[in-house]
Amino acid sequence: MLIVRNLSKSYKAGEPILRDVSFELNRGEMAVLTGPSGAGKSTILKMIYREERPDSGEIKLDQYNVTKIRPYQIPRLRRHLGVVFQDFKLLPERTAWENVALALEVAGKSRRQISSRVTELLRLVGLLQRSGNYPHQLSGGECQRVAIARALANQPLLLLADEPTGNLDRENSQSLLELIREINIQGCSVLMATHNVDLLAALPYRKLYLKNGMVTESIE
Amino acid sequence: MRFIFIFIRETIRAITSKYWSFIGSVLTVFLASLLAASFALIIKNTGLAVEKLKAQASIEVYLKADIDSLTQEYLHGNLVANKAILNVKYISKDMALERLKVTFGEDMLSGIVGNPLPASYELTLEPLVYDGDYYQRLVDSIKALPGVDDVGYVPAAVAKLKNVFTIVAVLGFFIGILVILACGFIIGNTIGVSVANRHLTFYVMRLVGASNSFVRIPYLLMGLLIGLIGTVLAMLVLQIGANSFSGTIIPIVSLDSTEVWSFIIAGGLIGLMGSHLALHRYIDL
Repeated sequence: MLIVRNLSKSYKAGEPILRDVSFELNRGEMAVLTGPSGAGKSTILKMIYREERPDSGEIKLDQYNVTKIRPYQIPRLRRHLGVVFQDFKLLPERTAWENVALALEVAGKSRRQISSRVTELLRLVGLLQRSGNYPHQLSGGECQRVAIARALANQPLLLLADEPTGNLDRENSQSLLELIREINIQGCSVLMATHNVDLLAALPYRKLYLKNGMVTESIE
Repeated sequence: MRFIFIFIRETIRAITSKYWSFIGSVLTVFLASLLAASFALIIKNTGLAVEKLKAQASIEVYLKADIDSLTQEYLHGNLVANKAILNVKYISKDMALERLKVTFGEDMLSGIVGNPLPASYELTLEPLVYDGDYYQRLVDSIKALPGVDDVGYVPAAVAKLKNVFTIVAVLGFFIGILVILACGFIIGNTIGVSVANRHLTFYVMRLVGASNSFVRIPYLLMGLLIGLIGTVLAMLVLQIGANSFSGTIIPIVSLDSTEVWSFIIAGGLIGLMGSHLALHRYIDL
Protein backbone atom coordinates (compact mmCIF):
# COMPACT_ATOMS: atom_id res chain seq x y z
CA MET A 1 0.00 0.00 0.00
CA LEU A 2 2.85 2.39 0.83
CA ILE A 3 5.89 2.13 -1.40
CA VAL A 4 8.92 4.32 -0.76
CA ARG A 5 11.61 3.96 -3.41
CA ASN A 6 15.10 5.45 -3.64
CA LEU A 7 14.16 8.51 -1.65
CA SER A 8 16.85 11.20 -1.32
CA LYS A 9 16.69 14.58 0.28
CA SER A 10 19.16 17.25 1.32
CA TYR A 11 18.55 20.70 2.80
CA LYS A 12 22.17 21.78 2.21
CA ALA A 13 24.17 20.94 -0.88
CA GLY A 14 26.50 18.03 -0.22
CA GLU A 15 24.85 17.11 3.11
CA PRO A 16 22.10 14.63 2.28
CA ILE A 17 19.70 13.87 5.12
CA LEU A 18 18.23 10.86 3.27
CA ARG A 19 20.07 8.69 0.74
CA ASP A 20 18.32 6.18 -1.41
CA VAL A 21 15.76 5.18 1.24
CA SER A 22 13.42 2.37 0.21
CA PHE A 23 10.79 0.40 2.13
CA GLU A 24 7.24 -0.82 1.80
CA LEU A 25 4.28 -1.06 4.14
CA ASN A 26 1.41 -3.43 3.50
CA ARG A 27 -2.24 -2.72 4.12
CA GLY A 28 -3.04 -3.21 7.82
CA GLU A 29 0.64 -3.39 8.76
CA MET A 30 2.30 -1.39 11.53
CA ALA A 31 5.96 -0.40 11.40
CA VAL A 32 8.24 1.73 13.53
CA LEU A 33 10.70 4.13 11.96
CA THR A 34 13.57 4.68 14.34
CA GLY A 35 16.98 6.23 14.52
CA PRO A 36 18.79 9.04 16.32
CA SER A 37 17.46 12.60 16.46
CA GLY A 38 18.00 14.37 13.15
CA ALA A 39 18.23 11.09 11.21
CA GLY A 40 15.40 12.13 8.90
CA LYS A 41 12.44 10.23 10.42
CA SER A 42 10.17 13.27 10.44
CA THR A 43 11.35 14.22 6.95
CA ILE A 44 10.17 10.88 5.60
CA LEU A 45 6.75 11.37 7.23
CA LYS A 46 6.55 14.93 5.90
CA MET A 47 7.26 13.64 2.41
CA ILE A 48 4.50 11.06 2.75
CA TYR A 49 1.92 13.68 3.69
CA ARG A 50 3.46 15.97 1.09
CA GLU A 51 4.66 18.80 3.23
CA GLU A 52 8.12 18.23 1.80
CA ARG A 53 9.22 17.00 -1.60
CA PRO A 54 12.15 14.63 -2.14
CA ASP A 55 15.08 15.57 -4.35
CA SER A 56 14.70 12.21 -6.04
CA GLY A 57 12.85 8.95 -5.56
CA GLU A 58 9.21 8.04 -5.43
CA ILE A 59 6.44 7.57 -2.86
CA LYS A 60 3.23 5.74 -3.73
CA LEU A 61 0.26 5.51 -1.41
CA ASP A 62 -2.58 3.36 -2.72
CA GLN A 63 -3.65 5.06 -5.98
CA TYR A 64 -1.62 8.22 -5.32
CA ASN A 65 1.84 8.86 -6.63
CA VAL A 66 2.64 11.26 -3.81
CA THR A 67 5.77 12.71 -5.41
CA LYS A 68 3.98 13.54 -8.63
CA ILE A 69 0.55 14.73 -7.54
CA ARG A 70 -0.43 18.30 -8.35
CA PRO A 71 -0.90 20.85 -5.53
CA TYR A 72 -4.69 20.85 -5.90
CA GLN A 73 -4.73 17.07 -5.25
CA ILE A 74 -2.87 17.36 -1.92
CA PRO A 75 -6.00 17.97 0.21
CA ARG A 76 -7.57 14.80 -1.21
CA LEU A 77 -4.39 12.80 -0.44
CA ARG A 78 -4.33 14.12 3.12
CA ARG A 79 -7.90 13.03 3.74
CA HIS A 80 -6.59 9.48 3.23
CA LEU A 81 -3.89 10.04 5.86
CA GLY A 82 -3.99 10.68 9.57
CA VAL A 83 -1.08 12.52 11.17
CA VAL A 84 -0.22 12.73 14.88
CA PHE A 85 2.55 14.93 16.27
CA GLN A 86 4.58 15.09 19.44
CA ASP A 87 3.12 18.53 20.24
CA PHE A 88 -0.47 17.41 19.40
CA LYS A 89 -1.20 20.45 17.17
CA LEU A 90 -4.68 20.88 18.59
CA LEU A 91 -6.36 24.21 18.00
CA PRO A 92 -6.51 25.90 21.42
CA GLU A 93 -9.67 27.94 20.76
CA ARG A 94 -11.68 24.81 19.90
CA THR A 95 -13.03 22.09 22.15
CA ALA A 96 -11.99 18.46 21.80
CA TRP A 97 -15.21 17.87 19.86
CA GLU A 98 -14.56 20.79 17.49
CA ASN A 99 -10.96 19.73 16.91
CA VAL A 100 -12.08 16.30 15.77
CA ALA A 101 -15.05 17.67 13.81
CA LEU A 102 -12.77 20.00 11.82
CA ALA A 103 -11.27 17.09 9.87
CA LEU A 104 -14.77 15.97 8.87
CA GLU A 105 -15.96 19.48 8.04
CA VAL A 106 -13.15 20.05 5.55
CA ALA A 107 -14.10 16.77 3.89
CA GLY A 108 -17.63 18.08 3.40
CA LYS A 109 -19.43 15.65 5.71
CA SER A 110 -22.98 16.45 6.80
CA ARG A 111 -23.73 17.58 10.35
CA ARG A 112 -25.37 14.25 11.14
CA GLN A 113 -22.35 12.32 9.84
CA ILE A 114 -19.99 14.59 11.78
CA SER A 115 -21.96 14.21 14.99
CA SER A 116 -22.08 10.43 14.76
CA ARG A 117 -18.41 10.01 13.76
CA VAL A 118 -17.06 12.41 16.40
CA THR A 119 -19.04 10.61 19.10
CA GLU A 120 -17.69 7.26 17.87
CA LEU A 121 -14.09 8.50 17.81
CA LEU A 122 -14.16 10.22 21.20
CA ARG A 123 -15.66 7.04 22.66
CA LEU A 124 -12.85 5.02 21.04
CA VAL A 125 -10.16 7.21 22.62
CA GLY A 126 -12.05 7.29 25.94
CA LEU A 127 -12.79 11.01 25.99
CA LEU A 128 -16.49 11.28 25.18
CA GLN A 129 -17.15 12.72 28.64
CA ARG A 130 -14.58 15.46 28.01
CA SER A 131 -15.69 16.43 24.51
CA GLY A 132 -16.57 19.99 25.60
CA ASN A 133 -13.15 20.62 27.13
CA TYR A 134 -10.56 22.86 25.52
CA PRO A 135 -6.99 21.56 25.04
CA HIS A 136 -5.70 23.60 28.01
CA GLN A 137 -8.24 21.76 30.19
CA LEU A 138 -6.88 18.35 29.14
CA SER A 139 -3.74 16.48 30.16
CA GLY A 140 -0.97 15.73 27.64
CA GLY A 141 -2.16 12.16 27.24
CA GLU A 142 -5.72 13.30 26.69
CA CYS A 143 -4.61 15.89 24.13
CA GLN A 144 -2.76 13.21 22.21
CA ARG A 145 -5.87 11.01 22.28
CA VAL A 146 -7.90 13.86 20.80
CA ALA A 147 -5.19 14.29 18.15
CA ILE A 148 -5.48 10.57 17.32
CA ALA A 149 -9.27 10.84 17.11
CA ARG A 150 -8.86 13.74 14.68
CA ALA A 151 -6.31 11.78 12.63
CA LEU A 152 -8.74 8.86 12.34
CA ALA A 153 -11.75 11.01 11.48
CA ASN A 154 -11.78 10.32 7.75
CA GLN A 155 -10.93 6.62 8.13
CA PRO A 156 -7.40 7.00 6.75
CA LEU A 157 -5.47 4.33 4.88
CA LEU A 158 -2.41 5.15 6.92
CA LEU A 159 -1.81 6.73 10.33
CA LEU A 160 1.50 8.60 10.56
CA ALA A 161 2.66 9.21 14.11
CA ASP A 162 5.69 11.45 14.62
CA GLU A 163 7.09 10.89 18.13
CA PRO A 164 3.56 10.58 19.54
CA THR A 165 4.79 9.81 23.05
CA GLY A 166 7.52 12.46 23.07
CA ASN A 167 5.61 14.71 25.48
CA LEU A 168 4.07 11.96 27.62
CA ASP A 169 5.14 10.15 30.76
CA ARG A 170 5.69 6.38 30.77
CA GLU A 171 2.17 5.52 31.89
CA ASN A 172 0.50 7.73 29.31
CA SER A 173 2.91 6.50 26.64
CA GLN A 174 1.97 2.87 27.32
CA SER A 175 -1.69 3.72 27.29
CA LEU A 176 -1.32 5.59 24.00
CA LEU A 177 0.56 2.70 22.43
CA GLU A 178 -2.28 0.39 23.45
CA LEU A 179 -4.67 2.70 21.65
CA ILE A 180 -2.52 2.81 18.49
CA ARG A 181 -2.23 -0.98 18.58
CA GLU A 182 -6.01 -1.27 18.83
CA ILE A 183 -6.42 1.07 15.89
CA ASN A 184 -4.00 -1.06 13.88
CA ILE A 185 -5.87 -4.23 14.79
CA GLN A 186 -9.03 -2.60 13.46
CA GLY A 187 -7.32 -2.41 10.05
CA CYS A 188 -5.57 0.95 9.83
CA SER A 189 -1.93 0.83 8.72
CA VAL A 190 0.44 2.67 11.04
CA LEU A 191 3.90 4.15 10.50
CA MET A 192 5.31 5.52 13.72
CA ALA A 193 8.54 7.48 14.06
CA THR A 194 10.25 7.35 17.44
CA HIS A 195 13.70 7.35 19.00
CA ASN A 196 12.40 6.21 22.40
CA VAL A 197 14.40 3.08 23.19
CA ASP A 198 12.07 1.93 26.01
CA LEU A 199 9.13 2.22 23.69
CA LEU A 200 10.90 0.28 20.93
CA ALA A 201 11.44 -2.66 23.22
CA ALA A 202 7.72 -2.77 23.99
CA LEU A 203 6.73 -2.78 20.33
CA PRO A 204 6.60 -6.18 18.65
CA TYR A 205 6.50 -4.66 15.20
CA ARG A 206 8.71 -4.35 12.17
CA LYS A 207 11.40 -1.73 12.77
CA LEU A 208 13.08 0.42 10.17
CA TYR A 209 16.41 1.81 11.40
CA LEU A 210 17.45 5.03 9.85
CA LYS A 211 21.14 5.93 10.13
CA ASN A 212 23.37 8.17 8.05
CA GLY A 213 20.48 8.86 5.73
CA MET A 214 19.83 5.21 4.91
CA VAL A 215 17.55 2.44 6.17
CA THR A 216 20.21 0.10 7.48
CA GLU A 217 18.14 -2.62 9.00
CA SER A 218 14.64 -3.91 8.76
CA ILE A 219 13.45 -6.51 11.26
CA GLU A 220 10.05 -8.18 11.43
CA MET B 1 -25.19 24.88 2.24
CA ARG B 2 -23.27 23.28 5.12
CA PHE B 3 -20.11 24.98 3.84
CA ILE B 4 -21.82 28.38 4.03
CA PHE B 5 -22.54 27.77 7.71
CA ILE B 6 -18.93 26.67 8.29
CA PHE B 7 -17.52 29.69 6.41
CA ILE B 8 -19.70 32.10 8.38
CA ARG B 9 -18.65 30.47 11.65
CA GLU B 10 -14.95 30.56 10.66
CA THR B 11 -15.28 34.22 9.61
CA ILE B 12 -16.79 35.09 12.99
CA ARG B 13 -13.96 33.15 14.66
CA ALA B 14 -11.36 35.07 12.62
CA ILE B 15 -13.00 38.40 13.50
CA THR B 16 -13.47 37.73 17.21
CA SER B 17 -9.93 36.40 17.65
CA LYS B 18 -8.61 39.93 16.87
CA TYR B 19 -11.72 42.08 17.12
CA TRP B 20 -9.90 45.34 18.02
CA SER B 21 -7.91 45.05 14.85
CA PHE B 22 -11.16 44.42 12.94
CA ILE B 23 -12.88 47.45 14.49
CA GLY B 24 -9.79 49.59 13.79
CA SER B 25 -9.83 48.57 10.14
CA VAL B 26 -13.55 49.25 9.79
CA LEU B 27 -13.03 52.73 11.32
CA THR B 28 -10.12 53.50 9.01
CA VAL B 29 -12.06 52.38 5.95
CA PHE B 30 -15.00 54.43 7.22
CA LEU B 31 -12.88 57.59 7.49
CA ALA B 32 -11.17 57.03 4.15
CA SER B 33 -14.51 56.34 2.42
CA LEU B 34 -16.02 59.41 4.06
CA LEU B 35 -13.16 61.53 2.70
CA ALA B 36 -13.51 60.07 -0.81
CA ALA B 37 -17.31 60.34 -0.79
CA SER B 38 -17.12 63.94 0.48
CA PHE B 39 -14.93 64.79 -2.48
CA ALA B 40 -17.40 63.07 -4.78
CA LEU B 41 -20.16 65.16 -3.24
CA ILE B 42 -18.17 68.38 -3.69
CA ILE B 43 -17.37 67.47 -7.32
CA LYS B 44 -21.00 66.65 -8.01
CA ASN B 45 -22.30 69.89 -6.48
CA THR B 46 -19.64 72.05 -8.17
CA GLY B 47 -20.50 70.44 -11.51
CA LEU B 48 -24.20 71.08 -10.94
CA ALA B 49 -23.44 74.68 -9.98
CA VAL B 50 -21.47 75.17 -13.20
CA GLU B 51 -24.34 73.76 -15.25
CA LYS B 52 -26.86 75.91 -13.40
CA LEU B 53 -24.81 79.05 -13.90
CA LYS B 54 -24.38 78.22 -17.56
CA ALA B 55 -28.13 77.93 -17.96
CA GLN B 56 -28.70 81.21 -16.13
CA ALA B 57 -25.86 83.15 -17.73
CA SER B 58 -27.60 84.40 -20.82
CA ILE B 59 -26.29 87.53 -22.58
CA GLU B 60 -28.60 90.53 -22.73
CA VAL B 61 -28.14 92.67 -25.85
CA TYR B 62 -29.75 96.07 -25.18
CA LEU B 63 -30.92 97.89 -28.28
CA LYS B 64 -30.52 101.59 -28.96
CA ALA B 65 -33.77 103.55 -28.42
CA ASP B 66 -33.68 104.94 -31.96
CA ILE B 67 -32.92 101.63 -33.75
CA ASP B 68 -34.72 101.37 -37.08
CA SER B 69 -36.43 98.21 -38.26
CA LEU B 70 -33.85 97.54 -40.98
CA THR B 71 -30.93 97.67 -38.53
CA GLN B 72 -32.85 95.53 -36.03
CA GLU B 73 -33.55 92.98 -38.77
CA TYR B 74 -29.86 92.95 -39.69
CA LEU B 75 -28.86 92.59 -36.04
CA HIS B 76 -31.33 89.75 -35.46
CA GLY B 77 -30.14 87.92 -38.56
CA ASN B 78 -26.54 88.37 -37.45
CA LEU B 79 -27.23 86.93 -34.00
CA VAL B 80 -29.24 83.99 -35.33
CA ALA B 81 -26.48 83.12 -37.82
CA ASN B 82 -23.84 83.01 -35.09
CA LYS B 83 -23.06 79.34 -34.33
CA ALA B 84 -22.01 80.14 -30.76
CA ILE B 85 -25.53 81.31 -29.98
CA LEU B 86 -28.05 78.60 -29.22
CA ASN B 87 -31.18 80.70 -28.91
CA VAL B 88 -32.17 84.32 -29.61
CA LYS B 89 -35.21 85.71 -27.81
CA TYR B 90 -36.56 89.22 -28.37
CA ILE B 91 -37.68 91.09 -25.24
CA SER B 92 -39.71 94.16 -26.10
CA LYS B 93 -39.78 97.29 -23.89
CA ASP B 94 -43.23 96.26 -22.57
CA MET B 95 -42.07 92.71 -21.75
CA ALA B 96 -39.03 94.10 -19.92
CA LEU B 97 -41.27 96.35 -17.79
CA GLU B 98 -43.60 93.44 -17.01
CA ARG B 99 -40.64 91.36 -15.84
CA LEU B 100 -39.46 94.19 -13.63
CA LYS B 101 -42.90 94.49 -12.09
CA VAL B 102 -42.97 90.77 -11.36
CA THR B 103 -39.52 90.96 -9.78
CA PHE B 104 -39.99 94.08 -7.65
CA GLY B 105 -43.80 94.43 -7.40
CA GLU B 106 -46.15 97.07 -8.74
CA ASP B 107 -45.83 99.32 -5.65
CA MET B 108 -42.08 99.66 -5.84
CA LEU B 109 -42.33 100.84 -9.45
CA SER B 110 -45.34 103.13 -9.00
CA GLY B 111 -43.14 106.24 -9.23
CA ILE B 112 -41.82 105.38 -12.67
CA VAL B 113 -43.32 107.42 -15.43
CA GLY B 114 -43.57 105.81 -18.87
CA ASN B 115 -41.18 102.96 -19.79
CA PRO B 116 -37.48 103.82 -19.49
CA LEU B 117 -36.37 100.21 -20.22
CA PRO B 118 -34.75 99.36 -23.55
CA ALA B 119 -35.81 96.51 -25.82
CA SER B 120 -33.28 93.68 -25.89
CA TYR B 121 -32.27 90.30 -27.22
CA GLU B 122 -31.74 87.50 -24.70
CA LEU B 123 -29.09 85.08 -25.96
CA THR B 124 -28.51 81.53 -24.77
CA LEU B 125 -25.02 80.31 -25.64
CA GLU B 126 -23.61 76.93 -26.62
CA PRO B 127 -22.02 75.33 -23.48
CA LEU B 128 -18.48 75.26 -24.95
CA VAL B 129 -18.52 79.05 -25.38
CA TYR B 130 -17.89 79.47 -21.63
CA ASP B 131 -14.40 78.03 -21.92
CA GLY B 132 -11.36 80.23 -22.43
CA ASP B 133 -11.31 83.70 -24.07
CA TYR B 134 -13.94 82.88 -26.64
CA TYR B 135 -16.71 84.17 -24.37
CA GLN B 136 -15.15 87.63 -24.04
CA ARG B 137 -14.45 87.84 -27.80
CA LEU B 138 -18.08 86.98 -28.54
CA VAL B 139 -19.34 89.72 -26.18
CA ASP B 140 -16.97 92.25 -27.82
CA SER B 141 -18.12 91.28 -31.33
CA ILE B 142 -21.80 91.66 -30.34
CA LYS B 143 -21.08 95.06 -28.78
CA ALA B 144 -19.63 96.19 -32.13
CA LEU B 145 -22.79 95.35 -34.09
CA PRO B 146 -24.96 98.26 -35.31
CA GLY B 147 -27.99 99.13 -33.18
CA VAL B 148 -26.48 97.67 -30.00
CA ASP B 149 -26.43 100.07 -27.07
CA ASP B 150 -24.88 97.79 -24.47
CA VAL B 151 -24.34 94.10 -23.58
CA GLY B 152 -25.09 92.65 -20.15
CA TYR B 153 -23.31 89.43 -19.16
CA VAL B 154 -21.73 87.58 -16.26
CA PRO B 155 -18.06 88.33 -16.81
CA ALA B 156 -15.95 85.18 -16.62
CA ALA B 157 -17.82 83.86 -13.56
CA VAL B 158 -18.72 80.68 -15.32
CA ALA B 159 -15.20 80.14 -16.60
CA LYS B 160 -13.79 80.68 -13.10
CA LEU B 161 -16.23 78.22 -11.54
CA LYS B 162 -15.35 75.73 -14.23
CA ASN B 163 -11.69 76.09 -13.31
CA VAL B 164 -12.57 75.39 -9.65
CA PHE B 165 -14.56 72.39 -10.79
CA THR B 166 -11.59 71.05 -12.78
CA ILE B 167 -9.21 71.48 -9.82
CA VAL B 168 -11.62 69.77 -7.42
CA ALA B 169 -12.20 66.93 -9.89
CA VAL B 170 -8.46 66.32 -10.43
CA LEU B 171 -7.77 66.55 -6.68
CA GLY B 172 -10.70 64.22 -6.00
CA PHE B 173 -9.39 61.73 -8.54
CA PHE B 174 -5.95 61.55 -6.91
CA ILE B 175 -7.41 61.44 -3.41
CA GLY B 176 -9.69 58.63 -4.60
CA ILE B 177 -6.68 56.65 -5.85
CA LEU B 178 -4.83 57.26 -2.57
CA VAL B 179 -7.89 56.21 -0.56
CA ILE B 180 -8.23 52.99 -2.58
CA LEU B 181 -4.55 52.13 -2.04
CA ALA B 182 -4.67 53.05 1.65
CA CYS B 183 -7.84 51.03 2.27
CA GLY B 184 -6.41 48.03 0.43
CA PHE B 185 -3.21 48.28 2.45
CA ILE B 186 -5.02 48.66 5.80
CA ILE B 187 -7.42 45.79 5.13
CA GLY B 188 -4.52 43.68 3.86
CA ASN B 189 -2.55 44.39 7.04
CA THR B 190 -5.49 43.52 9.29
CA ILE B 191 -6.01 40.25 7.47
CA GLY B 192 -2.24 39.67 7.55
CA VAL B 193 -2.11 40.10 11.33
CA SER B 194 -5.08 37.81 11.75
CA VAL B 195 -3.55 35.21 9.42
CA ALA B 196 -0.16 35.40 11.15
CA ASN B 197 -1.88 34.86 14.51
CA ARG B 198 -3.68 31.82 13.22
CA HIS B 199 -0.74 30.08 11.61
CA LEU B 200 -1.43 26.88 13.56
CA THR B 201 -5.05 26.89 12.43
CA PHE B 202 -4.00 27.09 8.78
CA TYR B 203 -1.41 24.38 9.27
CA VAL B 204 -3.88 22.01 10.94
CA MET B 205 -6.64 22.76 8.44
CA ARG B 206 -4.37 21.91 5.56
CA LEU B 207 -3.01 18.88 7.37
CA VAL B 208 -6.47 17.38 7.72
CA GLY B 209 -7.20 17.97 4.04
CA ALA B 210 -8.74 21.43 3.78
CA SER B 211 -8.67 22.83 0.27
CA ASN B 212 -7.18 26.26 -0.40
CA SER B 213 -10.61 27.80 -0.83
CA PHE B 214 -11.77 26.35 2.50
CA VAL B 215 -8.87 28.12 4.23
CA ARG B 216 -9.14 31.34 2.21
CA ILE B 217 -12.88 32.03 2.07
CA PRO B 218 -13.35 33.09 5.74
CA TYR B 219 -10.55 35.65 5.35
CA LEU B 220 -11.88 36.91 2.03
CA LEU B 221 -15.27 37.32 3.73
CA MET B 222 -13.59 39.19 6.57
CA GLY B 223 -11.97 41.63 4.09
CA LEU B 224 -15.30 42.00 2.28
CA LEU B 225 -17.04 42.78 5.58
CA ILE B 226 -14.45 45.39 6.59
CA GLY B 227 -14.87 47.11 3.21
CA LEU B 228 -18.66 46.92 3.23
CA ILE B 229 -19.24 47.98 6.85
CA GLY B 230 -16.75 50.87 6.53
CA THR B 231 -18.32 52.25 3.35
CA VAL B 232 -21.93 51.70 4.47
CA LEU B 233 -21.21 53.69 7.66
CA ALA B 234 -19.49 56.42 5.61
CA MET B 235 -22.47 56.63 3.23
CA LEU B 236 -24.91 56.85 6.13
CA VAL B 237 -22.98 59.65 7.82
CA LEU B 238 -22.45 61.53 4.55
CA GLN B 239 -26.07 61.31 3.41
CA ILE B 240 -27.46 62.25 6.82
CA GLY B 241 -24.91 65.08 7.07
CA ALA B 242 -25.60 66.36 3.55
CA ASN B 243 -29.37 66.29 4.08
CA SER B 244 -29.22 68.13 7.42
CA PHE B 245 -26.64 70.67 6.19
CA SER B 246 -28.44 71.32 2.90
CA GLY B 247 -30.38 74.57 2.93
CA THR B 248 -28.76 75.95 6.09
CA ILE B 249 -26.13 77.86 4.07
CA ILE B 250 -26.23 76.53 0.51
CA PRO B 251 -28.38 73.86 -1.10
CA ILE B 252 -26.54 70.52 -1.37
CA VAL B 253 -27.54 67.73 -3.71
CA SER B 254 -26.69 64.45 -1.95
CA LEU B 255 -25.37 61.35 -3.75
CA ASP B 256 -28.04 59.38 -5.60
CA SER B 257 -28.66 55.68 -4.98
CA THR B 258 -26.46 54.56 -7.93
CA GLU B 259 -23.54 56.57 -6.59
CA VAL B 260 -24.07 55.28 -3.05
CA TRP B 261 -24.19 51.66 -4.25
CA SER B 262 -21.11 52.24 -6.40
CA PHE B 263 -19.21 53.37 -3.30
CA ILE B 264 -20.42 50.40 -1.25
CA ILE B 265 -19.56 47.89 -3.99
CA ALA B 266 -16.15 49.53 -4.49
CA GLY B 267 -15.54 49.29 -0.70
CA GLY B 268 -16.40 45.59 -0.75
CA LEU B 269 -14.15 44.94 -3.75
CA ILE B 270 -11.23 46.82 -2.16
CA GLY B 271 -11.74 44.68 0.97
CA LEU B 272 -11.67 41.51 -1.10
CA MET B 273 -8.55 42.61 -2.97
CA GLY B 274 -6.76 43.58 0.26
CA SER B 275 -7.44 40.22 1.87
CA HIS B 276 -6.59 38.33 -1.32
CA LEU B 277 -3.17 39.99 -1.46
CA ALA B 278 -2.60 39.45 2.28
CA LEU B 279 -3.37 35.74 1.98
CA HIS B 280 -0.85 35.42 -0.83
CA ARG B 281 1.72 37.37 1.15
CA TYR B 282 1.35 35.69 4.52
CA ILE B 283 0.50 32.12 3.63
CA ASP B 284 1.69 30.10 0.72
CA LEU B 285 -1.57 28.87 -0.81
